[in-house]
Amino acid sequence: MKKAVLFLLLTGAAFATDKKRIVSVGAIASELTCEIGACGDIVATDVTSVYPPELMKKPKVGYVTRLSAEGILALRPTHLVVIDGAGPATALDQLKQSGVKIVRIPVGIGLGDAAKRLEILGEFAGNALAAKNLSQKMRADVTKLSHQKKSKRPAKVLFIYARGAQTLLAMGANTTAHELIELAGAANAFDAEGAKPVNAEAIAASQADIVLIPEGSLAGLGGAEALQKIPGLAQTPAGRKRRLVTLEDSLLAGMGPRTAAAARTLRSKIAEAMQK
Amino acid sequence: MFGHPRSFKISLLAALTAAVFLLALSVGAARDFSLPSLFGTQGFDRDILLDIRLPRVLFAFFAGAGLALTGVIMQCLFRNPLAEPFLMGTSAGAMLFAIIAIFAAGRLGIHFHAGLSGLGPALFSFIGAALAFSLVLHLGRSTGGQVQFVLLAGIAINAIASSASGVFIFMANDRELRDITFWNLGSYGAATYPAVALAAVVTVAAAVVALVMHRRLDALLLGDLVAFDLGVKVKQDRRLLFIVVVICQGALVSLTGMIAFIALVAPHLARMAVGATHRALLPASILIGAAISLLADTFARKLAAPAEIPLGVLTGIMGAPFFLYMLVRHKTRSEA
Amino acid sequence: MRSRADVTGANSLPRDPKREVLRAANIVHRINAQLTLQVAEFFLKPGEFVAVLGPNGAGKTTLMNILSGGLKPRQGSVSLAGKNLRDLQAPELAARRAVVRASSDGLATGLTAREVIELASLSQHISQRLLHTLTVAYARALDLEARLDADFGVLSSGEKQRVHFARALLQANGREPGFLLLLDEPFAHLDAKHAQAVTRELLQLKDNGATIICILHDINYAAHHADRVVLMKRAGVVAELPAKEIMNKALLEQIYETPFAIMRQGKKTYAISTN
Repeated sequence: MKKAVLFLLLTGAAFATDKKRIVSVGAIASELTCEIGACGDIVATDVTSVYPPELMKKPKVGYVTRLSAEGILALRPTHLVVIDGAGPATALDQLKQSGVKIVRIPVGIGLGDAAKRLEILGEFAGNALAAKNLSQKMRADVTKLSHQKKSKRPAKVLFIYARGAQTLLAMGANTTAHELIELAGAANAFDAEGAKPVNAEAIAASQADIVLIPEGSLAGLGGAEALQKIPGLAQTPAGRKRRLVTLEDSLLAGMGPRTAAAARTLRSKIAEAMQK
Repeated sequence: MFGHPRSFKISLLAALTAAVFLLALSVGAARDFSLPSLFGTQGFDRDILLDIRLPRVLFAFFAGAGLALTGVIMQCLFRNPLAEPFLMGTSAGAMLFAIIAIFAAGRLGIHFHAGLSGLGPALFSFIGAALAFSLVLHLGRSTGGQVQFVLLAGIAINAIASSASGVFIFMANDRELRDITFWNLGSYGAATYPAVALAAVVTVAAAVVALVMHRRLDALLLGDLVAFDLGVKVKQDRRLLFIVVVICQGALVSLTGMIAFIALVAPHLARMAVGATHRALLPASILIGAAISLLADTFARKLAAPAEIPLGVLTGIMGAPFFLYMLVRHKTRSEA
Repeated sequence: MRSRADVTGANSLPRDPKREVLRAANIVHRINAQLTLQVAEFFLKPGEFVAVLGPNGAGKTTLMNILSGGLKPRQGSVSLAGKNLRDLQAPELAARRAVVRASSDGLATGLTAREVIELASLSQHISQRLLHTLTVAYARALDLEARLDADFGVLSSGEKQRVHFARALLQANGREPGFLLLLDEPFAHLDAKHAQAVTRELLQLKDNGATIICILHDINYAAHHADRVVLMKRAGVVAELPAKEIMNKALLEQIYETPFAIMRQGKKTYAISTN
């Protein structure tokens, strides 16, 4: 307690002017912190925080689960915004004991958690009203999209995430990718729970009409040509007709204010691809 | 080889290690202190020093010392300069259970860290280490207890634990994968004062046992038969030494993850400096191991600040060239 | 002592059980199902030098290992100075007997020759200074002084053998009356000069009251230096007689299954295998 008081006294000036120094950990935490207007107060982020692009210039405090207490304290933060699961617990404890306020963000994929994230951050940033408006707009946009009539035969989309060229994962139910596909009015071609490694047979069995792949994964694989060579793909309509749609990596971080717009873009891209 | 008596060399090593200790204490992500200012810090600086850096540096000292110690004992028990505590399956077992804990936390919401001063996951990991080790000993004993069978049993258990770990790795999501990778590369991030106390207790206990037995360790180098002729209770002593290794190394690995090379390299450097008799080899290895550990951790904390490089990367960079040098030297000596 | 085949009609030697340094009874040992040793009775008197001879595979080393306490026989018991070996722990054994084995593991232990010799101090409570002095003295006697600080692993087999012998001498130091020295082919790698040096030390030990049992291949050496010779063949003791009586052509030919000639050279008799 004494330590916290000392620490607060030293950073007293910062508090007096309500000047926050924020370290944000977790892609969705950083994105939303910026969204509610606290972007200028961010002094450092973790390595997964790549959106918005200006965050790339900030110092990096390591990976979500491997934070360095001393490294973070060196930046004299007033607040630490973290997603659930950040660690190690020792580092967070040390930071808490040193007087850094920790704001925790849930990571669930549904609309409920997305709204909660905005609510928590709005409260934190002192922008509760603005956050509420954002949240309501998000809720309205997303709900509208999910209530849109689906065509009789929605396009079957296979979402592929490449962890290096060796491991390909397909996204099944209960993933952000799945939500995006549904909101775009398409159907998930991959019938499983969560992210699963796929082999040629699974890909062929999906009979996907379209392959949806994040830009980072596509680059990692070696581009569209390399994608075509993936075993099993040639046996699907997506492979035969070369129907490939990409999206921004950062959209996979979690549902947020950008999701609805992204889903609409996706919808038109899918429609375009289906022309082939 | 050198003209100086051994006790002088060991004093020199102690001074060197003390210097590295002070260096490690002075340097860090928050700020670097000059030596005199170390003792007059106030407020924020003082908090950083006492709450974060001091436990970390103390932990690095004991972890390095403990790992080096287990390396010396293993090289004696197996009469092989390439022996390491990892041969006994403890690391593979600790890793498997650490992975299970990572999965349990993420997927089942079972967190071990509540209670036990944050040492919960480490305790669980240690169970894995102890389990693997008991299996190795049991298998080794049932085939006659000779060194080569214990070694084979260790290889077998390592393989089984690694395969089991592989299954989890296959199922892992991105974050779990990173966590597993980080475990494999090791870190002193868990260095709270309770962890320091644990590391200190197991290392000091192991050191005391080994030092008391130093003559018997020398005798064991000549083979079980000759050691027996000289008056060593071979079976009992070997068993005690194995237990010391599993407790010390198992506890440390559970707290730090896999730290490469210290257990292998420190005894060799020590042997080059002070010779093979354990009376000098033990203290020298402990000091050298601590020094390597402190130095590597200082680089880990500083080079990529405010982030941290996993420790194993640095011990690998420091250890691998030395390892190669050792192999070449061994080769030329056997050709002589 | 009962013999399985009393070829020459040699008598049993007079015995005094109370004064025996070592006594073994009903020893049977097997490896898997194969019988490796069967000896009904065996003893050693204080101060005597016993040579154990016999063809390869006769069980000589097995006997040595059992008598030294390093190997537990399947059946039977061994007593050293009245105490059953099963009741003696390794440190107590090391204070009563020393063993020099036939060959050394060629391990790169990192220890120097001096450090190996000084390991005798595990069973000896002596000061560092005395240890150092004795080590140098024994090394000098065995022509090892120049090699004391060399790495034990790079020594020649002859040098290694002498180092172990020096170590055994150190173990025996100060304990000679009643001490037992077991040697398994101590001259295997030694040239004539070094064999003589070792012999000198052995006889010195004997004079001080130690008992020596030694596995040998050299029949003449046994005849000229030992008090008693034990002849072994096919996992058992075949004959046991005073050393001088070993120069018996029929006996030797039966044991070794190869022709021998017995020759006189001055005062000494020699047995030479003629093939």
